[in-house]
Amino acid sequence: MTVTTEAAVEVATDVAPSPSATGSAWHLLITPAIIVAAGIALFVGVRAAEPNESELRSLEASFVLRLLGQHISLAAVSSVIVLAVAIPVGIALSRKGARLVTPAILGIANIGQGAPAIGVIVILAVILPTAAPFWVAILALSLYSVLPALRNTMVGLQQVDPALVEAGRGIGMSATRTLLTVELPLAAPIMLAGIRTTLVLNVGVAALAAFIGAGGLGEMIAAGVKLQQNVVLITGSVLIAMLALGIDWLGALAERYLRPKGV
Amino acid sequence: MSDVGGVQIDLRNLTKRYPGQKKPAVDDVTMTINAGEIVVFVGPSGSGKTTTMKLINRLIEPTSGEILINGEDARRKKADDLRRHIGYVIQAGGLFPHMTVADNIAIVPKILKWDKKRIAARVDELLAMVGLEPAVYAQRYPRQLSGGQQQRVGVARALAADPPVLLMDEPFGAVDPITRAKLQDELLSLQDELSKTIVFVTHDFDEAVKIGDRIAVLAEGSRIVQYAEPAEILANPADDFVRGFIGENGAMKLLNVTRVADIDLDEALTVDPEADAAEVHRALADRDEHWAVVLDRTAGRPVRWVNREELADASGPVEGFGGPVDVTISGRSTLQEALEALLRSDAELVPVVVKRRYRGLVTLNTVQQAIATLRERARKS
Repeated sequence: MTVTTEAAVEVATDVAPSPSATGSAWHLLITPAIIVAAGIALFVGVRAAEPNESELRSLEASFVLRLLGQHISLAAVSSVIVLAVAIPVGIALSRKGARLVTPAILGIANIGQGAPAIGVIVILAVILPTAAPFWVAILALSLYSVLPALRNTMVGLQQVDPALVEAGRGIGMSATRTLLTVELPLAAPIMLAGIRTTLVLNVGVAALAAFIGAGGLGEMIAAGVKLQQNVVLITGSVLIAMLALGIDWLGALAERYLRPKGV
Repeated sequence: MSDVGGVQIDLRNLTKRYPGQKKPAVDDVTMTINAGEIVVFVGPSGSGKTTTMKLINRLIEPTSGEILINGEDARRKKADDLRRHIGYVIQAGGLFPHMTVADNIAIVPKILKWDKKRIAARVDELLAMVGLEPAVYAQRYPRQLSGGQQQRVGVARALAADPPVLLMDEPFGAVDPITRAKLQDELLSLQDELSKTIVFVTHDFDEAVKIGDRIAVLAEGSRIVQYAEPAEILANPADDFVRGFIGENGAMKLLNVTRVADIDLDEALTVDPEADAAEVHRALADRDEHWAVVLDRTAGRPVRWVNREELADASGPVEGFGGPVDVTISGRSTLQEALEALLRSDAELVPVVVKRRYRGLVTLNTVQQAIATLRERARKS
């Protein structure tokens, strides 16, 4: 789990679209291969470890699938919220007139990500004792992962050649049309890189939701640590890593195939 | 291709003041741009020439003053609508890299909701007009084109909805000199066909002289130092600022913008091919001249030179003497081309032919006289 989170944070500092988005496509097969290999290794490993009865209960398919479902919904809901906020706000902040508020908003987003994820989750749970743990976790995840999507939306739009925007306006395109048909397509590669990072962060950090009782695959890790069930702990960790890798792979596909032609 | 042609543009007391700046960027500019003319705004960087141009399509909103396009107040219209009927070309074309050439050109027609067939036909027509084979280039992306080709597509895009006015902001600034000269020539021949009203911004005075029907030399605050035809500015610069802009070789540039048909030509004795050589000799002696031109009887075209010394003691038809006319120039040639012809041929005189008929002669003296007259005339006006 920690490995996943760290890797994700590293990606978050990378503003430019990752180099994997260009060149030939064969490398896109590496990630699925690793995921499959990890799955097989996990299956074989768990078999070989000969789990005891209580461990077997924690590894029961229906239980694991329920946790997986919770995990995915934590990551998905927070991602939808983050994108629904980050993209419009990023667009708004990249407009003229927003120069003054931009540093303040970026500052807040930086704090959200700068603070340790576990801290954000626990503090929010303490501040909001009556709220459902699921939504507390969603809020924490959203705060934590908003920065890459927000910043890359802004950076992506800012790096569009102002002469092109002016050319668009100059030939009679409305501001909205220029945004939709010129600015956003040209910003897409960088925005997609940020969105990909946000999604991966959400999958990784959703593991911490278990600490405030919001479920997810993190529960296997928590239980594994508490009850010294290494098999359960490792299974949970590997599943989260596989999920994160899968999402990252989908992001790579999106970056590659949604990138505007001709650029 | 289009009979719309251009419309007149009037700028009246146009001023642009940016907050926090003492001096206005454009200070009370009043000028009339005639329909169908190319007017070049030329001036050093910071003179406000681009700003003035952008005031016309309201990419920059004026602080005060009026813009009349074909008599209509441009400030009363919606800016986007206004711009859809004013072509706009920027340096390197300003093409959108993620759209094909055809899509770039089709932008304004699409906004104007033309039907697909009409748009496709217009795209092909425009590409052909700017010298790009539609079948080859329509589906390419801008990155797959050379700088000159991108610029041509930029012009095609600006012309898409057949606007009466074209604004060009240093359009040829980013291409090599050879391509630039070619693009300039193409623009001029396109303009022969379309006669749009074109406002062209450049900092290159030579480009202004070549392109412009009229040049506005602008100083700081877009102050119009001189607004006149290129020949007049060259012959009689308004002040040292303009003189500095013209540079050292203003007289040479003047040669380049003056046409042979517009100057006083020298005369020479013209004779029929069958005229008697002795008679021609006598006539030359009477006039105290050395050369006579033998004209083709039917077409009036100069065919031979004869000189007085050669005809001394000669008899018979004059066409048996002298040498053939090997160099002629047309009335449309510039004085520079005339000079070039003089220097290239061994003769001291070059006959001028307009519509295949002899019109007169150009000598070194003719050229010198013409420049002096132009200067004189410019000074008086």
